[in-house]
Amino acid sequence: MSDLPQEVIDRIIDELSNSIEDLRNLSLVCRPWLRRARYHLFRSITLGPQDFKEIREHYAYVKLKASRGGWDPDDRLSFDEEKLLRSPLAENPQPVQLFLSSISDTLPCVRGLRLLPLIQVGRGLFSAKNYFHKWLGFGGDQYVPECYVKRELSPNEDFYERQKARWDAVDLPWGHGAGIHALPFRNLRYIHIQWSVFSWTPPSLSSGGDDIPISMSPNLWPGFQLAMLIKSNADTLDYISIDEYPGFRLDQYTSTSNADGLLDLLAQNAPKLRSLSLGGLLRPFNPHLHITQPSGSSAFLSKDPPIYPSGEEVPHVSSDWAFPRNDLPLTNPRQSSLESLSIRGFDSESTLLIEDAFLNRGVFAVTTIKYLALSAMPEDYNYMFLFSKLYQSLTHLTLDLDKSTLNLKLKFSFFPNLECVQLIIHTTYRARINLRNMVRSLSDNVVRLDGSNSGFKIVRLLHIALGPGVHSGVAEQYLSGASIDEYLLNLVQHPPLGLSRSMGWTKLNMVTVDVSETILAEALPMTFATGCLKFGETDEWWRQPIYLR
Amino acid sequence: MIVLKTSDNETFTVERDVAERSVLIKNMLDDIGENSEQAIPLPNVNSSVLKKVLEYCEHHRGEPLPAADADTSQDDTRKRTTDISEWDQKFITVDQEMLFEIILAANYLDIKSLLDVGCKTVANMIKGKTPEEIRKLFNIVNDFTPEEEAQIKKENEWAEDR
Repeated sequence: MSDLPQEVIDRIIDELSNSIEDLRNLSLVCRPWLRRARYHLFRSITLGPQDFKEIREHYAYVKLKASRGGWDPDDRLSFDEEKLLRSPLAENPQPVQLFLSSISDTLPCVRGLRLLPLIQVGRGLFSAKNYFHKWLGFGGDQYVPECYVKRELSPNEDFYERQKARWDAVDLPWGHGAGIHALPFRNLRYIHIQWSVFSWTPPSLSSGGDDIPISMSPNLWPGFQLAMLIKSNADTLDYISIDEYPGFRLDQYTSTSNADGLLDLLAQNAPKLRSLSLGGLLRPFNPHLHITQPSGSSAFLSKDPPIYPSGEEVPHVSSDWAFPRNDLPLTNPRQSSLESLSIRGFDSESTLLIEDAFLNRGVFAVTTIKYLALSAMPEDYNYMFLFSKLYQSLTHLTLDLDKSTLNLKLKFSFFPNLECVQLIIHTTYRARINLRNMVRSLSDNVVRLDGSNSGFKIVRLLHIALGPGVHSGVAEQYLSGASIDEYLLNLVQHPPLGLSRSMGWTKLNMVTVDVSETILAEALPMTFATGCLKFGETDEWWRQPIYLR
Repeated sequence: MIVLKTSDNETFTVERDVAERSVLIKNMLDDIGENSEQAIPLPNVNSSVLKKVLEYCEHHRGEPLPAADADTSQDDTRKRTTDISEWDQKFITVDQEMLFEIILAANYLDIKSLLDVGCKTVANMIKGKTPEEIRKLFNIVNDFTPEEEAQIKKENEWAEDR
């Protein structure tokens, strides 16, 4: 085996690139195997703040629990705890920067970076604000007395000194005196950022760092870091995903200079961008998520905007950063290579502003967009306006079936090149009606009576996916309760009864649903009998690039 | 017909479309022209291995060849599967020495599909084994110090589950 040339060894390792355990073992066989194994092991890295003291304490707790033998049900280890016990990193945590320098020869192979904002304390995950307030015990001008109890401090101790020392020991992947742009990645293809990650680098705490321009205004600081990180990877970056973004709000436009500049920043600094996923703060209802009820009569639940420990909001990207001063916004569409766009969780004003940037200001050309995913859209969202601009290029469309789609009449024939449609069902009181309306509208469209003589059209796939909190038992009720069997049958039959080809009709090749075929046979018997209805896992093609799977 | 000459000076006469499963041989034939009756020397392949390789090429003759750039070593978008067809599986059920000889020959002769079958077979043998078991299986010397091993293990913990 040692006689094999390196390219053959690499090829053998490539065959196991989807098995993390095998890759870990392969990296330890001998030196010639290490580099290629790591090429796959570290194709994507997730970084976030760490508190070593907490990691060690939690490890000691789990170890103690394990040593009791698990006689008491409370002492039985969960899967995650057992995994933790086997992890040398949990026993002896390693600072991110040390890790990154020790794999410096592998860094050029890292293709994906996810920056997550939560820190683990015990079994819980805390945002910067909660960590400072409830755990470290300070933030803004106040301290939190309960922290004395939690941290077993006596009132005589120098509280601020102790907690300041603790904060200084927190491991920020980019360092205390720098921003995320200090991270040493230069060949990333994919970046995912939850905006609240910027809560961990408030300018007041970072002042004095070597990597922070002295004249940097706090309002420009997150945008500056993002732009610098993207610029460092401009030659390779083709997918950016930003979540929890607090921008695109009309009130931010009260002064022109405060207009949102995120899209301009991306267009200017990531010229090869092919996929863009933008997430706002709104979420469809999910009982498993800890989110706060918004005030007013909003139909959505909203996460809190990202805030610094001081209580101030982490700013969005200001147009001051995106445009050089006195430079007017673009009026003509750029040449862009954007193929995939995902928008989710923005309110009505925000979606208007996003559409304005795409459709009127032409920050990115829309005629190249093939993949579109619209999720958790505002109730009054006008889908057809956006569709009217993208209809010719779209091949893949994903929609959440929520209040916003209740009255949407989606027609296959409207999109000449459409290949796949993915519908995500959610737990709402109108779920059945929503599903029925949507499938009926697609089914109605089988006959194109517009006089066009373009023959028949084939749509490859309709997939029905389950949203968060929808388990297969509920899905079965929705599928049978929606009475969509006949409509689906109409779509997959060719040609539908009583029609000739010359009239023009649409044939749907396959329907897949993310539930077992036993359930499908029960809930949709007629379509199932045709063999065109099958189980299918929800494909995340609209979000995740293939090289990260 | 094409004549191939192995490292142990045996000659094999094969039909052109069978020999041309090898990109190396195809390119050589293109270079020397249609009518040459000269034997093509294959100094890196012995007769027992070439016999096996030609058996594979004979079975797969007429199948479309993979595109030249479809399967480069940097290509990580290729859908990987360790599945091997039944015939190929039977064909590649040989002793370990022959398996590596076939892989080396497929690499040298540039027969991508055969190289693929060989690498998948080795990958299947490796799957689920510890580093020590893999070393033992393939007679590989561990060139890491215990400290280096411990460090690699620790760094590997950063790799994400997928």
